[in-house]
Amino acid sequence: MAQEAAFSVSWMQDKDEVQSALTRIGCDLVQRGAISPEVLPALYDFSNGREISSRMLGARASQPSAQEALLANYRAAVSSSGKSADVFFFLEGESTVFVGHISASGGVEIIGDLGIAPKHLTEMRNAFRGALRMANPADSGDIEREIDGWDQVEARMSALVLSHTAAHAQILFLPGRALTGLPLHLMRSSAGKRLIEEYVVSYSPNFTTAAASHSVTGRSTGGCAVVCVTAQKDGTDFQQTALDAAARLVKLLEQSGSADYLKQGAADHRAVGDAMKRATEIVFLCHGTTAGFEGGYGICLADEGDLPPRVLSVEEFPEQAKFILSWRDIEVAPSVVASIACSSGLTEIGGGGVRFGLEQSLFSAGTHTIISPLWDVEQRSALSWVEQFYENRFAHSDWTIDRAYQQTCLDMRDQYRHFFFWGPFAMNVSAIGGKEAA
Amino acid sequence: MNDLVTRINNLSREQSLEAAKYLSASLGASADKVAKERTALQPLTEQPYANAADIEALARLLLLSAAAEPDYQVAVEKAVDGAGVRQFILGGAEIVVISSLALYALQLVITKGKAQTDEVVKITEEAGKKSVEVRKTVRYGVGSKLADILGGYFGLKK
Repeated sequence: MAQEAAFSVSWMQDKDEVQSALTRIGCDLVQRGAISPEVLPALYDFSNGREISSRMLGARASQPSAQEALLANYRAAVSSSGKSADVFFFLEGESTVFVGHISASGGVEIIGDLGIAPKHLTEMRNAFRGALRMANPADSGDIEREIDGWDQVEARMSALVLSHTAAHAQILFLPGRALTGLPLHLMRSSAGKRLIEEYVVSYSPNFTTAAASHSVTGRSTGGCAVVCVTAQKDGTDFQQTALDAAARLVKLLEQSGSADYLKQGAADHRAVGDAMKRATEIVFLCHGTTAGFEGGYGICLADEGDLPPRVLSVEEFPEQAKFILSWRDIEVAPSVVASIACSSGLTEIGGGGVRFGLEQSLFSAGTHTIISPLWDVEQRSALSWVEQFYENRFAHSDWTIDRAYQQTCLDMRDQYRHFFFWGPFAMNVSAIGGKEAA
Repeated sequence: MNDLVTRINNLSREQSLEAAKYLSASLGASADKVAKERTALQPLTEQPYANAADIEALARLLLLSAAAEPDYQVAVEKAVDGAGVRQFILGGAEIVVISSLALYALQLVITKGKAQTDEVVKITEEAGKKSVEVRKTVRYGVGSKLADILGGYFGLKK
């Protein structure tokens, strides 16, 4: 047993090296024309989120036929949705990050590289996330300028993306490892426009997820749910603001059917788990926190009538996990999950490209759209964002959820100058051809 | 300044930690600069939740010391303005990071680049209770664990 354990550690280390070498060799052969670029999606999934693929496909995930079917499944999913999407995916070799593209017509190619080693890009990503974490909501400043080298990477990436995106197409990013968690939807063009201002932009962890047909698990039976849990640290003023916003959302959602409302002490693990089984859509107006080692970011819930404490230190007190909904807790999930919990849209990358975060279990439990923030949001602007999003969806029944998402970003940009307030929400999708929930 | 001190005193524990984080960042503290501080604070950060009162005291000491310096008052005001409005509950890991940044920033505020600190920072003890005194204008009571850490970090004579 001990020998097996030792073997598994070295195997995990080797796995990263094998993944990196295979990506480099594969991209090199594609660029030389020695092999078809149609292998690229399988190459991407080999290094990214294999645990999600395994949860979605079971034993089929590792079969060659499943790898070969990735691109065909993706094309079929896009075709059935009637959407026109340009997909950009990032493949990490040893000395650079290759940019792959699938055009709206389904053609696959490598369109260039970012000219920076994955290791340095990861450092840049960490610096970017650190700057967002340290940004003072009362004095946000020029966050992007603080990141050494980001301007150049952004310019290069933006030029590649914009020169390969059809007018009015949707953009889907599969960010790989180093770019995961970065707000690529806020990427600036040379003219200073941010991508989301002109395109509908979404993300997906890998091709298996993007092309899922959603026969994954037992499906929910209908209706919506709103979960509102403040924390002991919140003043009465904000508690009331959050509860008022939740009540308005419930009223809005009731227009399209039933809406469960779980608030404060009643919203514990069991009640939320039950609501997730029943609902097709759930909205979390809760706090976010870190859920300990390999727990990623989670959503704060109540427990036995108590609101989450002022500080949550799961590493020190593992029992405090009872206040956190993390990826470990989710078995069945609604089609659409929206959350304002801080950083609940973030995924941490582990060895071998394992992705620790809510997306891992939500996508494999039936969710096709997650709308959640990539950093620690300011409370009031985040509440306004979600309210605006649902107002847009119900005011425009002909809009897709992606269109409502983009319009909400634009509406909020008109209210708040800094992207820190209007741009934190990312739309992470599975089953690009999935049906709308509303 | 009195108004600013009142605002600092009225901050909750989490708000004081968050304000210290913003102030530290605005003074140039960052994770890659605080190796020495991380080591110095280990007796507290091994159990951040259990030692939260001491870490809070460090955060308040930074805020009050900076508020006493005209050069830093605007930065302190902005840090206090921004505290407590994020939809986040601090975890142990964040508290560990903030404490190192706060100690680094406290050193910047106290020394203003000078090596000699004996004249500007002192640790006093009265009736068994320890306090840190900065430039004879700020006096803040601290636990003995934090007092020992600050004494060692600033090289104060016992």
